[in-house]
Amino acid sequence: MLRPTENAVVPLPRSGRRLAVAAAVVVLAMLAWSVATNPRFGWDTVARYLFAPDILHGLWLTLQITICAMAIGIAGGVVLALMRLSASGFLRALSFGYIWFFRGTPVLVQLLFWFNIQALYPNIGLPFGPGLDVNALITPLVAAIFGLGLNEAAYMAEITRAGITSIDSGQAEAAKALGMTRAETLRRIVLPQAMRVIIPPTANETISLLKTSSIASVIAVTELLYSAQLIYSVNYLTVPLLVVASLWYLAVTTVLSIGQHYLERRFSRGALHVANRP
Amino acid sequence: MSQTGPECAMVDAAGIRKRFGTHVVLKDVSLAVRRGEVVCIIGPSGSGKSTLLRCLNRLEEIEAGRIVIDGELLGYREIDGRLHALPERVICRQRAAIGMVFQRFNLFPHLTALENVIEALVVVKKTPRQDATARGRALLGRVGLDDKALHYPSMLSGGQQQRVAIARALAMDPKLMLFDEPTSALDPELVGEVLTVMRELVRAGMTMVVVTHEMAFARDVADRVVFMEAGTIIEEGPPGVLFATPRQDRTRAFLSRVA
Repeated sequence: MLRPTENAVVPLPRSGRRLAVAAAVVVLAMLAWSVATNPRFGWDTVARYLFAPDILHGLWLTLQITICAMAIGIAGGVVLALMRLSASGFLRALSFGYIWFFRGTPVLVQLLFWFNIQALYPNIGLPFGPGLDVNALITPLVAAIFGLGLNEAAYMAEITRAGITSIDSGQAEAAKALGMTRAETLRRIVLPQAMRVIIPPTANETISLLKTSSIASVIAVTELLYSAQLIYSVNYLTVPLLVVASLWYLAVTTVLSIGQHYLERRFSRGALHVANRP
Repeated sequence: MSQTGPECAMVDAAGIRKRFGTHVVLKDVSLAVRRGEVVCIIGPSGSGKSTLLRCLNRLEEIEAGRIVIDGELLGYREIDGRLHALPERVICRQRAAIGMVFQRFNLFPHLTALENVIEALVVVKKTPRQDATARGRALLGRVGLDDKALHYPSMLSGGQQQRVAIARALAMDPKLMLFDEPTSALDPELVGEVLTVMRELVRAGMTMVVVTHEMAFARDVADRVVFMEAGTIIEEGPPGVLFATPRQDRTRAFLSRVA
């Protein structure tokens, strides 16, 4: 430890800080006591329903929607970002139009739209080829995944674009001068560095999508929240079942946050604060 | 069509014109560099010397003129008197044979010094990683940095970073090396180590075009010094002649300012 002198150092008194900490501890303790002892929280009911088959099935659907929609969002976002940065004015305009439309309309409307797509196109398929019954193809789950995924792509496009443009143009130039193609430059040099900028907002988006997936309930997908609602609409144990759903959302968010931490560490290779670690 | 051999020029650039918007940066510049020759380009900032260098490996596309590197037309194929743009792959192959060192080093910060050196070998030349690593270590040794192989650029001094950048360019076995003000971003006490590495390259017979403000270096190692101003070559000649008895007033004025 660094010391200005060899003399003993008396730190400034921090009485204000100590007082604030004491007050916060008291308030938190009161809150915890009330949550633990108020019988209307129904902790025994929470415990009974936490691993109920309907709840676990709902959780599984929520995870499916989140993972699939985010995969569509990331893949679509990268493509849209590259289009946005392309030399072709047409591709730039196309990407801009997509982002404008999908960010500009409520995701709820988009979801309902996909759910009712068979009203517009009862059959799809190649002209003269075998047709596909859209009603059978676009199940509520598929509608939810596409609705949320295509919407997410618009947001991911902007995040990816911000990441790519944050990298100094000298990086791409050096790669070019070494004979790398544009694709190699992007994959090996630009994107790995852009990841540092892209990961934190992407984790935000993933966590946000996890919770937004609950609006799939409007198209009758029995995801986590809707499963809880279906149970309490029968037994009126509203608060305990909302607590059950919240605990699961918190659990998944915790896992995602841990994943974010390790991803960030992996992609901050070479950054000063990591490099200097022994 | 393509001829090689000692009599053939390494660089034959003729009538190069380049504009940025309405500003003409290069006005029909012609420059020839013989195999093994070291040419230093000097001149005030904004004179177009860096742009000329960047045209030589097609980091900038030219609007008129033609550039022939080692007997091969850069960026185009000539069929019946018409120039057809080459596909990206071919242009990348042409670029890979020309090493470039930047003023701001442009090392890849997410890769170690060794990984910086071997990245293009692995990605572009598809060299097996083990062979590339051996070659990378040898090159780092050549620039005096064998002990820094596993360091990231952020842990290296400017001079060390520039030496890694030189090793990275050399890894591709270039027949021509372009240096764009390689010591301008360095603290004065670090300039020497980079110039030492460059002198060693000169001794090894590398063909080099160096844009520089280091007049002593140019005087010492250049076979020919080119003075540029306002997008044209004002005067060129052996350093002994150009520095001692410049013919043009503008050359004299510039030299008196930097001396």
